[in-house]
Amino acid sequence: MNNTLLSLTIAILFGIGTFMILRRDIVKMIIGLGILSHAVNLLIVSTGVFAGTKVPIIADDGGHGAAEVTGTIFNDVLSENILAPVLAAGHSVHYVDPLVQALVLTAIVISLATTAFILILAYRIYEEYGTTDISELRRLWG
Amino acid sequence: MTTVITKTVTKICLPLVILFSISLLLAGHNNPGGGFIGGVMFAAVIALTYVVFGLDHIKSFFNPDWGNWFAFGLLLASLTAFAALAFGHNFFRSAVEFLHLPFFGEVELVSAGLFDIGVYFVVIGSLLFIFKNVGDDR
Amino acid sequence: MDSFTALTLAVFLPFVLAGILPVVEKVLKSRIGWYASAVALLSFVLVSQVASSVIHGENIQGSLSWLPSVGIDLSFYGDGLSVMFGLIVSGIGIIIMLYSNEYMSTREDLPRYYQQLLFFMGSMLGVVFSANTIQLFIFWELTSITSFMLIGYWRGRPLSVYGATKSLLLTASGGLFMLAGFLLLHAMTGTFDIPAILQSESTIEFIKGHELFIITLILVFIGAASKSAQGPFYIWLPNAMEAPTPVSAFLHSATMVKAGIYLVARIHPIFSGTEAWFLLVSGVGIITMIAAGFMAFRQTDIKGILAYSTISQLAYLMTMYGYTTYQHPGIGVAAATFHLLNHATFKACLFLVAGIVAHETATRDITKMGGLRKEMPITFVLAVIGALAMAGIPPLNGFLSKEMFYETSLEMGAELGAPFTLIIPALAVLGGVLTFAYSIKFIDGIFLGKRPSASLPEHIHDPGWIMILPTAFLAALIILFGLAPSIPVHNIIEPAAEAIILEPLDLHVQLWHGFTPSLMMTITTFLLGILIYTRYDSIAAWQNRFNAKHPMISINYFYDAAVDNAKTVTFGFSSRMQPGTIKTYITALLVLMLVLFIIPIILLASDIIPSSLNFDIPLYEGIVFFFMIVAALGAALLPRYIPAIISLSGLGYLVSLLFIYLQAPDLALTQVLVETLGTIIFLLAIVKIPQTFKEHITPALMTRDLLIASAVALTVFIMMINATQGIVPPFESLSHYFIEKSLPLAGGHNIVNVIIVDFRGYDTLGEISVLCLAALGVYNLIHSRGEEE
Repeated sequence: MNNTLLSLTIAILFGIGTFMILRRDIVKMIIGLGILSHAVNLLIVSTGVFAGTKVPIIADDGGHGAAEVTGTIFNDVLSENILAPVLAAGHSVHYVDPLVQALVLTAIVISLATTAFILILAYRIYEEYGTTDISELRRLWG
Repeated sequence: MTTVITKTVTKICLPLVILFSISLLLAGHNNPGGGFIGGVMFAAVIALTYVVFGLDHIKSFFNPDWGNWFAFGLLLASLTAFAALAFGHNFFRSAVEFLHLPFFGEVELVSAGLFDIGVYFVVIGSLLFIFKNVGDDR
Repeated sequence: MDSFTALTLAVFLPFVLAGILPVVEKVLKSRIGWYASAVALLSFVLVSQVASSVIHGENIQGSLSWLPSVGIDLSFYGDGLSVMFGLIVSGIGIIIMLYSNEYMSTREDLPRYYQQLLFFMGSMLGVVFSANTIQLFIFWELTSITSFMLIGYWRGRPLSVYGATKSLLLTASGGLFMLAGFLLLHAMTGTFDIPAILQSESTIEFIKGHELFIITLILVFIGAASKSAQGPFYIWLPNAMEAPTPVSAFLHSATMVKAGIYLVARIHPIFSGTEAWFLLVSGVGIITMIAAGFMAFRQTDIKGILAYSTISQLAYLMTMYGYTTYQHPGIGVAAATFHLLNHATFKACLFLVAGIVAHETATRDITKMGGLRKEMPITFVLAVIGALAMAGIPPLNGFLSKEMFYETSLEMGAELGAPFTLIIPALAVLGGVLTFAYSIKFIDGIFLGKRPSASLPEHIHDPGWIMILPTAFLAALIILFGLAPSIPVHNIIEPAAEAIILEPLDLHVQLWHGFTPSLMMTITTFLLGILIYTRYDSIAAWQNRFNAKHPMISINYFYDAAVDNAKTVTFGFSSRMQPGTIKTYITALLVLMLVLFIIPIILLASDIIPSSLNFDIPLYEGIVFFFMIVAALGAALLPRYIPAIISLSGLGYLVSLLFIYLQAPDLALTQVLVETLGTIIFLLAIVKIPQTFKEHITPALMTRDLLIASAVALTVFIMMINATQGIVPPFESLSHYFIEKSLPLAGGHNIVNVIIVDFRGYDTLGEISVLCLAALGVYNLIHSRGEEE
């Protein structure tokens, strides 16, 4: 993985997302948030990519407790057969740090639920105020 | 979207995907998968049937209260976390047990698996709950 | 059950049983008060079991592991002192809850009332049985909070809210001073454990010689004084009378206000025997005793009279606990401890009488009352017993402890030498005279004299037995303690006083003990008291004139001014900090973030961008990145919503493609599925929002936003390019731990999943709760519409 290019892409995504959440149209803001959340997930994952060789799955030798870190992803025969055409045997690659993966995995699911929430909020705001322009929502100023 | 082809494909896919989602859930401890992925997959396939056949049509014969699902999941997950206290361990301490069964060979029982099942139900329940409510609203 | 278990249960059962009270209420309905009384009874029985061990000379001590890493355990300690408080708290608790069954109308929010009373009782038991200072502090603040909620029980009344706020501000902030004192104590001794300090003479000597001694004493005493309404902090207690009367009887006369006294008694062995202790505790005590007794005169609210008398009586206790000299550190302890018990009985009795009177006549104004003795004969008798005990008339219990107060005053005066030989007993008598006068006023104003027909309802009668019996029980205790003082003295007072002075004690309290100097003082008190009482109304009138002329000479004046100013200042501050436009917030956040990034960038200017930038681009990666940027630009620039959203989901699929490429199978799978679901939900919602608004972007706005956006992009790029260099040696990835321990500890091969469900299970629990909340939020947003129309 080329880190310069990856960093550049993520930075551009951040820039676009930032520009979008500065808009007044609430739907555009939500789209901006979506772009930003993709960018953040990628950012977190990519800090793990270059951290060194890490395997998300441990292959074991049959005993319990004796773990040997190898380069294979799947450890049972069936999936190895299925994946054989994709991954060459003994092919060793850089894997993403498992901790980072765990963090991002939950973040992805949660961002779906929260995005749905904000969307419905936007929809209700439109119903109540007849506009999607947030600068007009003076009633919320308290 | 509601062509005969999509309908037929959906009918065939539905049981397969549900089975796959359950296998993802159960395999999660040792292979790619887990409660989050399994749950999202289950939710996705139900959402697919909603979209293909129409929410009202599906609701006429299959209408579970998804709210109960995520409530159950949250309860199960937190009970798993608290159960450790009852055995005098710290909050969230997990347990691993290996069982030898006649046909299946060695089966690994982990308390974290129960927690994962809780996560599974929360993910399914909350996503489909949102989905149904948004879809129902006119 | 061993005593330690009993003690722990006595503290925690009220919390647990109060927690399930709303469920029980579904069954018992308006009879829920009986359940609450049963809970109080249970606590009382449990405390009694502890008491039986303590009477036999065995102190209870034990702890449950709580925060071992910082040396704080959940530890409980039961000695004579705490058992006496425990018995008072749970015993008065039973009486109050029984009484409330009739006092509180069934239309009131009963579950909230009883639940808070039980929470309070549990916290108060927690205060007196806590063996470490941090735990004591927590329970202490819990009593402040429950008191706040109970004073503000009638939320609609502005005076209730004012009183509740005042009490919370004063007692809770006083508690913070106390905490600071406890931390200093910890700094000196290295322990939070109270018995550990008490049981080590060398530690106590060390504290007394330490330079932080005075400041620690003052800090802890501020906590005690604010809780017990002493000195300038007295102002919250009269306003707290807005609470329902059983609450006032329970919290603001018998138990919570005595928490400060308890604290003073508890730290007595550590700090007493010094001049600072005497001057501070007794000094504040004497001033408060006389000032509050004097101020009671102008009160027209019957509960107001009782409130000032409570302040004054608590000041008695403070004064006596402060009586100490180097040779003789605990002169007043026995007398104070006995008076403490007696005060709990007669003051609670008087409050319950006041409650009865207010309940039957629908007023609390003493000027509108009079002559009720014929209509409420039983209440009249109970009131007389309570008031005469307070005035110190034999053969009631108040007489005995007041005699002891006079004796110890004489003794203290003699110890200090002239001129204090006279001054201290004279001040004690003055306090007694004032007490005598307002006690007589309480009976005379309500029950004697002529009945004003206009201001009172037609038919007034004694209440039902549910209110009479608890009050009568207290009155019976008053008489019993007066006639047979050896029962409480041997069983309760001696163990308690021994716990304070830390040496064996043999008390002899008798009703008749000859013509001693203290008896002479008592007789003087009565004569002067009658004399003052004849001038009662003119003194009250003078006080009213004085207050009207000099509103500045009042602590309340300063309190109100301070609170009002604080409101203005904070309102001004928040309206400046939160102008309300979302855009301002976002811009401010981003600008701050940029500033925080620019500082290190300037500092590290030379090696921000690594010299070896890698521009060797594989074709596949180049294509994916190119389309990602195209998709993002599409989502941003396409004017219609739906194409923009399709473009956004295209970006999501590309991200999942990247995840596959990065060998993160779990992530890629999840991302694909979530993106599908997300797109559907997006479309479902968006078709309901017509695109009516189109923002007009002026060139200036465009320039500004582009500047912010590109600055953000630049910082992210610089951060990323450095982060993706790999982890530099002094730092190490946490994952090594997870990779090593995943199999042996959690028995899982998929480290990602093991981290989610096991190592970081707490996080995940929080995250799935967020999912549930989001789902419930969506439901409420959609369904809230129906209610408004």
